[in-house]
Amino acid sequence: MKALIRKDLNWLSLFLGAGLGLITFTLATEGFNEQWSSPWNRWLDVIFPVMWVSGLVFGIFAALREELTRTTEFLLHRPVSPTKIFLVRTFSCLGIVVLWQTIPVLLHLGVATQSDNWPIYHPSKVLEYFALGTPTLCCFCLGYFAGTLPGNPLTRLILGGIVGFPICAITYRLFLPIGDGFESSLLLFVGYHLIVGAILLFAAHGNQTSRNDPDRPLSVRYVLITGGCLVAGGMVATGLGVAPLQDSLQRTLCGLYPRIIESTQGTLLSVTRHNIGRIAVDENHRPVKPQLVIEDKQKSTWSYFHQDREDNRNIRHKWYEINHTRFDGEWRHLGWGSNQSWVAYLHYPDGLITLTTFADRDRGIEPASQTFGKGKGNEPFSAKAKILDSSRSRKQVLIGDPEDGLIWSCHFHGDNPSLVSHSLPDGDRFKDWARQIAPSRSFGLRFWEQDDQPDDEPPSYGIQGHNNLYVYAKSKITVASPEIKEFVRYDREPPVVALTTDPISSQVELRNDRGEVVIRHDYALRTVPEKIVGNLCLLASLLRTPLFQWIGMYPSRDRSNFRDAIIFDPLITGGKRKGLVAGNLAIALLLSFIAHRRLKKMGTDRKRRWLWVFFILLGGLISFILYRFLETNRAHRAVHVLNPDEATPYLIKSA
Amino acid sequence: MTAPSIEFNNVYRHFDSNEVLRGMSLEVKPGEIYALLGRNGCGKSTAIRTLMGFIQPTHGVASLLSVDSQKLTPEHRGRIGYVSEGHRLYSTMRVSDAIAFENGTRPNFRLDEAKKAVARCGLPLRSYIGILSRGQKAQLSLILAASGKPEVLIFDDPALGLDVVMRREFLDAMIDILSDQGASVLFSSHVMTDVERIADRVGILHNGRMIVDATLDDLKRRVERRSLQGSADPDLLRSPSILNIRARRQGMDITFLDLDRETEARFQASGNLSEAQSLNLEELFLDLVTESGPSSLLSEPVGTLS
Repeated sequence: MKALIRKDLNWLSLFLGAGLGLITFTLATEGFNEQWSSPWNRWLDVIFPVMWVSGLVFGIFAALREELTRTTEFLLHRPVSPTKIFLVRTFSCLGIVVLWQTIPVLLHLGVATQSDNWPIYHPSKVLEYFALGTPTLCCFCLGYFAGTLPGNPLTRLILGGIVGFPICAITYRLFLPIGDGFESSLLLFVGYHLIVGAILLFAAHGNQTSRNDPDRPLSVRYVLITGGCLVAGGMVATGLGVAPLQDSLQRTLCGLYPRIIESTQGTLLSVTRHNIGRIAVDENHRPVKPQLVIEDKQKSTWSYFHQDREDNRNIRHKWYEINHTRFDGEWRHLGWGSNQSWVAYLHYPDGLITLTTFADRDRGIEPASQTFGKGKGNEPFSAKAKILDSSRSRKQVLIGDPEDGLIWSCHFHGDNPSLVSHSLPDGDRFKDWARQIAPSRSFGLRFWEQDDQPDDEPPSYGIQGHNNLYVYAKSKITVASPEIKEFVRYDREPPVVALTTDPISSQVELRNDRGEVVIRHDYALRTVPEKIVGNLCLLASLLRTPLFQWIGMYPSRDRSNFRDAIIFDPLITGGKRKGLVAGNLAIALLLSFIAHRRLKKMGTDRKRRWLWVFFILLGGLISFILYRFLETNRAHRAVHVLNPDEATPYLIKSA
Repeated sequence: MTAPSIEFNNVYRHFDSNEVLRGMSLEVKPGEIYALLGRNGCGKSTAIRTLMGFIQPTHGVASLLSVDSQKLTPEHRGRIGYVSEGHRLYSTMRVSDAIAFENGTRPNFRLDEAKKAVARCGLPLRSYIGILSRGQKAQLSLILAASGKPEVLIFDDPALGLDVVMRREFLDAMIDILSDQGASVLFSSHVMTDVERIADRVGILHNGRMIVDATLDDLKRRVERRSLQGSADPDLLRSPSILNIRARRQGMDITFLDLDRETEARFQASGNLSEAQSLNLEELFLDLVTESGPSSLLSEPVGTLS
């Protein structure tokens, strides 16, 4: 075993050095201190993705090392079992991955203790750091697994991607707050990656020891393990691929569907016609005659489908947010200074603000941390205190506390950080934050998504009091204008109510302030464009995996959009559209029949045939594609031979 | 009767639709040195890789030490030495590291003998393998394979890419190392002079099929070349004793196998048949595998793919 490790020492050392250099450099560039004390660290933006990609590359190289140097036979011909060779290699590589993560921290600690420049560690951050490292192990296993797959590099890339894509996607999904608390979330996250990594290594071992030969059929055991991994990955990948497709089709359909509009003519259904404005349509979505054009583009419109949709946030944003909520449940970030000179967060259990100031060597200021609360008595905030989440815009930090009914603006600049209280007019008390509002040069006063608020505009915020709506702007609180109240009313209480929910058809009604129904409409596929797009969306369901379609019929939970529909199809939940499920199953049956017939024709054994039938019935089209990848004609080509005596007509043969 | 150390029993191997081995059968007895000859691409390396268990035969069984090569255990592999084509070694290792690696992975490895052999060949222990010459790599590969005290040694074209001097040095080292081991050796080559120096038995692979499997003495005794002045009866030229006919300015050179007195008399009757000339291995090989040779008569595939 020592000899096997010593043999690999040169390139293992190279990877250890390169990985450590890269990770230490990334950590140092991002700021060691900030990474340990700020809840808004950049681990998921830069540091860990670097480690994960490094792990992936390392795994691929470790699997292909002998293939690249054409020394596979030199290694395998010696009296050492392939399993031992595999185990020695993988465990030494996994050791390197662990060192990648541990050594930079120890180095940092060593340097910090020597320089009196103590980092402000929070225990949860240390745990989080090591937890976030487990995907690196998983990525190494994925790289190793992909490197040992059969076929040419492109085939390996495709097959590896089919498994890797869902792993990454599930990794991302696991950042969502699934667990009840910090520890359970952490355990789930780490456990998932360790289990997936172990399965991938097990499959990689099978790949490596089975001596993949393109001219020989893969063993049934191999099909079971590696094929099973690929099918499982493929099933999740199918959901990941189909869900966005259906989502975009649904969005297109929503664009085609008429919207409800309030106009001088009353409440109408309308569709947008380019260069004309909106035109009124009847219940069958056809323009009313004579044509009625609604020119006022600024009028409020509603659509159940649009209101139901989440904000279209990009992944980076979401990861950022998830990191915050998942691993720092008790610590709510308030803000940070320019160049990250300070960071502040509110600790919910004790209700106090912790402000950490980082080293400013030019001014001789060392890192320091102080806690303070409201007013001179440093009174804690209540557990109901609500922070105006302005951290990303890095503008003013405001905290509203329903208990004392005051707004507290935080001033962390300079040497004397302080909190200034603001009370609402007419003795009203703070209830909640309304949406952030700001003037726009183009459209007058309007609401902004917080991320969209232009930097050159002074910020203003909506405040919901118990009696009225207010606007906080330029450190003053004033009563909101009727126009703003109107926006806020619609924003917070959607007037459109869905009676039935479905991604492509729904019955909705619009109520006025008195609660009377002013319009009721049954959204369904009526016009030709609507039918084309809607049916394409339905057809996309046939691509989904039969197993998940079958299970997905039973949950009573109604899903009305595709954003969370990676596994279960929202079109069929609650027993809707049984025909789609039947169609899906029929396709799987047909594909499994084709596969079975082909394998039988090629003279393969029963186990192999029925294994593939099982996989295809579970996974549908994706399993069939994988089956075609793995069970090639070349591997199953029959050879007819003569008996030895007839087959070797030697010209010269001596005893 | 002792079991053969190496055995191919009707081995077929195809790569996609290309048949590389077609019913190959041979045996190497204990202590025998067997040379597998053939042109480039005739299937020598495929045969050896099949024998080592690196690839599976499409049909048939290749055995090493009476064990199916697909079922070789580490214990069996410890009794086998192997030098791959091109002498593939870890180029980032030093010579001393390579010896230490072999010593660490082979229970029977004779470290002292390996070091002595390295010194005898003048290989610098501290040099990286990547910067060694081809000849030095070949010598090192041989030393590493032979120092494991193997019962069977398998070389895949060990002299490939070596110039005449290097080849001679390599061969001397091989003879030196093997002289007192008594191991069975199977090596592939297309350098006939090397084969004549060390082989006991020769097999010729042509288009994936064994056309010759004989001892060198037997070949020399049974095969002869004669010149015929004048023309011969076409029926006579179709005699099964004729291996090859080459036209000459006034007649032809005929290579005979097991020429009997009756056939000889008939040729004498049709023209002036010269005295028998002995053939060296290279000439025999050329007579057997060139287009005009008898192998072209056997070009019909033995096995067919469907």
